[in-house]
Amino acid sequence: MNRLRRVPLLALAPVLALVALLAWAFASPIGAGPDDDYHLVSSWCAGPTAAETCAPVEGAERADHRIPRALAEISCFERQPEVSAACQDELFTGALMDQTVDTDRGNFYGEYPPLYYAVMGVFTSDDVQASALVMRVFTIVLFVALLTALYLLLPVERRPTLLIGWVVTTIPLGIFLLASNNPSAWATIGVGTSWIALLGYFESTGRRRIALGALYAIAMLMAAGSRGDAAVYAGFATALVLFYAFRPHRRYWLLVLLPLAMGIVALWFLLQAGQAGTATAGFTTPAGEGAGDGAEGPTRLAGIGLLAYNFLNVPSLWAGVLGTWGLGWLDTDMPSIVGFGAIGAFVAAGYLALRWMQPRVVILVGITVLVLWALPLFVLQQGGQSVGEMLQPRYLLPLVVLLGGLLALGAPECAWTRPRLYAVAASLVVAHSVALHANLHRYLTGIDAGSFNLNADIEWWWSVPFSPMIVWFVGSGAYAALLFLLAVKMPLAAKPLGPRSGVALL
Amino acid sequence: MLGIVARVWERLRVFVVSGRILILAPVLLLVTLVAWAFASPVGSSPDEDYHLASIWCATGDDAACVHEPGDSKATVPGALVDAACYAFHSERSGECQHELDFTGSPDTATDRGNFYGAYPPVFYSVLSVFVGPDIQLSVLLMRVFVSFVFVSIATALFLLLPPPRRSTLVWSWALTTVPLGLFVIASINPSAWAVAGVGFGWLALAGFLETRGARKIGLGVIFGLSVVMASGSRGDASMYMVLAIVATLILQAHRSRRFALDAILPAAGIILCLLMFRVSRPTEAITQGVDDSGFAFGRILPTMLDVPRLWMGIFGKGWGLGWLDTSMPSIVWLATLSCFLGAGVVAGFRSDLRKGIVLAGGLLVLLVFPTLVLVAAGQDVGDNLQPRYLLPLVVLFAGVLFWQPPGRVIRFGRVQRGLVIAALSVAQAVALFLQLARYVTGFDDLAPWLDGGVEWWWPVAPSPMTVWVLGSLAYAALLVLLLARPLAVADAVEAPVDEPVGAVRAS
Repeated sequence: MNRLRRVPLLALAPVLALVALLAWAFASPIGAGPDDDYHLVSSWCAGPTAAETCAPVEGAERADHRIPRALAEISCFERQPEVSAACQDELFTGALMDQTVDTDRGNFYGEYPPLYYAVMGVFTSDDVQASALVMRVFTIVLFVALLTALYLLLPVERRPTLLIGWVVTTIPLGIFLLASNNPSAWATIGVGTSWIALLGYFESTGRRRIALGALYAIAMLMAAGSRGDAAVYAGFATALVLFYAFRPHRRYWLLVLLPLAMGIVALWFLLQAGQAGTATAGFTTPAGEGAGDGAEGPTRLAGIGLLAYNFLNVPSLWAGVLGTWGLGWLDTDMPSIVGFGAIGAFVAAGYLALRWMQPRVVILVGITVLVLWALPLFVLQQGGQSVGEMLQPRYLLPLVVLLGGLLALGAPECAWTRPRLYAVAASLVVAHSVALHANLHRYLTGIDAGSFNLNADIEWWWSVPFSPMIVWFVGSGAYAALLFLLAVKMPLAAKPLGPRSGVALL
Repeated sequence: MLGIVARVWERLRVFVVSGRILILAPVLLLVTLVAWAFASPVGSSPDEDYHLASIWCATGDDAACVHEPGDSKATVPGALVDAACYAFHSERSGECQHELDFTGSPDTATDRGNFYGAYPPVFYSVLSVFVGPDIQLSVLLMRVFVSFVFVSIATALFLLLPPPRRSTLVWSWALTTVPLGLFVIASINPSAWAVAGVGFGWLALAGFLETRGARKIGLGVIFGLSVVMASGSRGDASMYMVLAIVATLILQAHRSRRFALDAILPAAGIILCLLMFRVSRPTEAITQGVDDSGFAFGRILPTMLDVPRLWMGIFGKGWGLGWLDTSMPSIVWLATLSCFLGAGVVAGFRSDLRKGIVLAGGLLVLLVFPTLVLVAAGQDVGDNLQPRYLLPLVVLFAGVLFWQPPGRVIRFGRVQRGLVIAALSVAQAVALFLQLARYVTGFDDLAPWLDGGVEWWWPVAPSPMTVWVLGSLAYAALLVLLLARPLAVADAVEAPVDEPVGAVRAS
């Protein structure tokens, strides 16, 4: 009975998550995500209107696709934080194909896997803004649905792991990307859910196992179908779980067949994307120079000096996920309370977890940290670049979400108490609210104007019947309510847990 | 032969296991601080030309400084004025000092010095004792002296405090002093005593209020000394000291005649601080003048939301060491900040009502005070207000975080302790290396071997690499000694009160 009474209240959680993410979807104009001009063009060129909106240009060598100018110049505010999104207004006057440009900036040469664009292409139409918004909403619904399904299907003691792992790694960059038109959204969702779905698949039985296996497969497809590097990450996460769940038993080897198959699928996507030739693929997007927190670096280093500099500064990329780098085209700086609050929440969760660490978890965490260090180092070294250039925190976001989850593997038993949950929730609620406000502010007026009241003197907004202040207020409130609800209802170990039974108790 | 080895081994084992090995801690701390003292040339701390002139002119000796009372200028040796020739240019090593005459007599007029009483006089007067004909030698002696005073007070406090308070002392300092704290504490910047005074004073007072006899007297003396150090070094430190005293009283106050009598000492401390505050002008010192544009209320919220940048600057993010030009890589600030936040959250939840009130008040002060100063001065975070001004408050805040109220013991698991030790050791080693490299070769010629291509170094001193290795190893060993296991027996036996069962089992 007691458990039944809880159901209705917790059922609010997906709704609140949906509302908070929708607020982010409305908090930035189309084209606000990094390289979103590229990604939107790629989506339109994979959609039903492609014959018209993405026609090949006969005889052209480089700029070989004719696309609407509205798509090509949609990020007119990029890297100019004082420029509001009002520069888009003239792009949306008249019919879509009235003005066209020839470009090769799109996924024409198979740099990215095709799945994300193929799915998003379904939503393309003559109305760029409406289509792109629907795409954002679709990704958000997919994310919330996946997490809800996972929560319901996972063994009870894995639920805190799922929630804590996601909550402490997604403010502010994660939540911005999840509600964006960027394939990084799918990359993050895919990697961040596939591993725990697979773990649940190993730890449960019957129909639950089948359902978790299906979720794992979906997540793997999302990761591998969106970015080349995410295919590698998802394969890595799968390998970690295979190690963690290993039992010298025939059943284990039977169960391994699914991840093995999905591993092959991921590999196929990677090869299809033509990125297998270099491990750096997926990082070398057509992005411009990123100037982040660590960018005050050397003028031009090489060799051992570059290696040392990058080695010592890679942590800046991790912190960038938590708000020390800008959002959007890296041009939306966060007030420092965002980074401080988000880093605080992540560190608190991780540090508490250290008191409960199975040797296998220590190994998983150690390997993931090593990869988080070595991979950017290798990629940067290959390109002769230093931290702050090219390689952005969002490329590491899927791995950071994975790390947050791995650290929370001991969540039900480690030293989480309600007050600690409330403290972490409070710091994230503040960080989230400030981040959402700063993000809205940057596009409404540019950072050179505007004030606390987001409705005042706005230069850009959607044609919708609600104001920016409402979006901020509702988004902040929904997120606060979500975290409060989760903190109140998080299953904690009130009594010693038995051995992992593999049977869900719901 | 084997017998001798076995006996020596056994003695060594007893030395370690009994905890007597802790006797090495002061030596290791001193070695670390002295390594920092040697790591940078004369003039390396922020505004050190000002502080050098102030110290030299505090001698009252015309051979060091010619200054008429009331005059806005003084004549000092030219090397004092130009010592920081590398300031703001991290690619420029200390080599530019080769042109300076460090044994010269007063020949250069300057208006940068404590000629109007912007700073309280105690710090300058004490250090002026070490002024001699050789400026480099004098400054090194001053740095070693300041380091020695810090180590002495820390050691005395450790010995005099009741055992459960020792871990408060150790953890609060360990988690707040890499990299900025170590640099400042071993410098001739008045901030050194501002930090030491506030960070030691409150704990000495806390111990004073809960001990008896000789211990009480000793702690009272340390408290008095701390008040003089803090209020005698910087005007703002007087106010911080008052806050520290109030915080301690909230933690310790109770209705009794004994407490009423004891309270005379902190009351006297407060009065002294207020008097010293009156004689200096700290706001100008911090903001270099208040803007006339008035108090812009609209700036309060944006400024406040950005104040954590100042907190993070203490851990090396955004603000460099020295003249803010020696920037630290992200491994340093992320490691130290993470240790502070991680251990701080664990410790902060071992609270009772009083500790909760002080922590909430502390957070409020750390947020509101810089906001008001900045808004009043018409400045943004990142302008003149530097993280080091907040360092005393952060050390105090960390101290209260690690305060153990009656019946609540702060416990850490082995992995948690290990991670803090490793992270802080690495961060300190990296910070010290870069601090040395910045002056020895400049950042334009960074190389892994500090002793190759030396452009600047002291005339007589162990080589830069030796200083780095000694400083890094000493600090790492110090952390292992102090943090690897619970310091007080009480820490080890008392069970935590409000942790879930799983945690107890796992620890």
